[in-house]
Amino acid sequence: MIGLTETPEFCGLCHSMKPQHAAWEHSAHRQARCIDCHLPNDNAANHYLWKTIDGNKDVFYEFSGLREHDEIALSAHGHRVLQANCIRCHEGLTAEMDGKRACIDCHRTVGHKRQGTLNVREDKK
Amino acid sequence: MKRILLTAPLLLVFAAACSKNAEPIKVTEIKAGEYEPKEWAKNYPLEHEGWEANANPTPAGKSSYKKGWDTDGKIYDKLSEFPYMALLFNGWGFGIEYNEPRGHMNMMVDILDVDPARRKAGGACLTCKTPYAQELQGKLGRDYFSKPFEEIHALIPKNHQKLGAACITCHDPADMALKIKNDFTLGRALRDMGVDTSGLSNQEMRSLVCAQCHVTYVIPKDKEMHSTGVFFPWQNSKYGQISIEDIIKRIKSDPAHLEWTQAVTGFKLGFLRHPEFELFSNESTHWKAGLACADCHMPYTRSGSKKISDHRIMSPLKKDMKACIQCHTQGAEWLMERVRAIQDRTASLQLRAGYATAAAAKLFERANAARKAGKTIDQALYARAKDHYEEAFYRVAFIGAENSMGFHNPPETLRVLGDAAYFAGKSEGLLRQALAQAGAAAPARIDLELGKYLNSRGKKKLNFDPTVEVKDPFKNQEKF
Repeated sequence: MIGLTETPEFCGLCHSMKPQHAAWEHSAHRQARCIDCHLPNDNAANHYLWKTIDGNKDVFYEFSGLREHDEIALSAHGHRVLQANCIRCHEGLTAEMDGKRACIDCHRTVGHKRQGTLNVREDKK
Repeated sequence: MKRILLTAPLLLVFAAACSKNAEPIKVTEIKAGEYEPKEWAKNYPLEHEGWEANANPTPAGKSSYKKGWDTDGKIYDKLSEFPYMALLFNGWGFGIEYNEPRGHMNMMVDILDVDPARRKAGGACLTCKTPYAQELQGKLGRDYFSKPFEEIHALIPKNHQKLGAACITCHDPADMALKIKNDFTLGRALRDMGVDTSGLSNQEMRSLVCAQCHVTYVIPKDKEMHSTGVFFPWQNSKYGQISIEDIIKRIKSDPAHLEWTQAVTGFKLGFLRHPEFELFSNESTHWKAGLACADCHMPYTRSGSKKISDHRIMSPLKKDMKACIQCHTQGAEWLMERVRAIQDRTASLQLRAGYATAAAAKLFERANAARKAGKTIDQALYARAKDHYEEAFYRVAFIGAENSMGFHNPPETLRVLGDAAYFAGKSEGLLRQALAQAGAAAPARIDLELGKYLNSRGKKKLNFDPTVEVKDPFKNQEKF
């Protein structure tokens, strides 16, 4: 059960997550699971605590329809979790960099909706 | 008991946190106060490699306006690029030899090579050339500023007498943290603005280490015109809002700040030098977006298995917009065009303001000559014209010395140049009125006599090079 809810298929089941899921599927990070970026992975306690909080929040908003039309965006905590996960996987590469600046402030195309933002075609003048 | 044994590893799983950071291997301990880059290179060979590459020329033809240490091997004379500067700066070193910079590796070499008139201010000139500046100033006090350049330069250890910006200029040897070496200039200037220099973030430091040198400064003089210090005229400003208005106010606040006499007008004036930091940090778009100098000029580069800041500092244009493409994904060619559009407009207005100020200077020359010949020049008009002229001159110097040709802050650049042209125009109007009233009317078109100022300059007898002259891309300047 726990295993199943760790999969992208599961996250992608909800209607409001479809755009994020579709964007991710074609992205450079399609080998990563949603929870690899969006849940703390520093220790198991933290991981399952936030899995519970965020998971239940998502379920509530999905089925109550209260924020149906809102654009999905990371909270401040979500940004902190994301940043820690960037560094977790790319630790060697970023060892001599200041980890306090958000990676995605420059690496904008890593995010879901910004895949291929105005990426240039070689054949177009 | 069994239950405890079973839950213990589980608890460990919950409690364990993977908190070890990747640490670089330290081959040696870098001593405090170690100036020799080769020592630092033992621990940071990749950064050192980038730094050493500063000696290599950059690809020619990629930057339209900032040529300097390119593969064409040419030294670009700024006075030939902008002939009005030869007129305006006639009277001291800047009017004799003033070249486009040749990068960080040539900092010291170039000041030793340039016409000696540029080093007249004395040891003070070393402040932005040698990493030993802070130490020397600490040891010698006032003498550091006033004693002849060669005398203070000789105090630098022989093997480092040609060393420009090095590792210690920006980094703390203990932990590589960015650190301001020149506390006597930048540290003081920041504190003058009320900045807590102990609480600066890494990102702020990524601009501030550059601000040790890429700023305007004043070398105040005593009655005998000996240098008594070096300071940044930021005392009327706030961090992130150092405007030309504040700087001019500061310069005009004390006659000791007036460093030279302009030959054409006879006025004692202050001066402005390369204000990249002031212009960029004055609410420019990229500054407001949170970028530092290093983000564009030392972009992160993959080197080996790591990302490091590229220590080969150069114009982003010469690196095929690599620094820009990370955030602006439109591609190098499109981005180049955008930069070109900004720089062309800046060059156009800079020529307008520069030549307008030069014309006003020539009218002052006429007015002074007329007064000497016994004509009565209206004092009130003259004084007002002089006020406007100084406002124009300082603005023209400010933007003319700045090295981005507008890109660091396009709207502010054009604002300052627009004002400069206006001030110069008003000054000209008042002078023409005064001259006409005195019966010494000036011709409609003033002969700037540029040849006089451009040829046979200084020890090297430098001459005008027409091949490098910057022309107005919009062809408006030729209408005047």
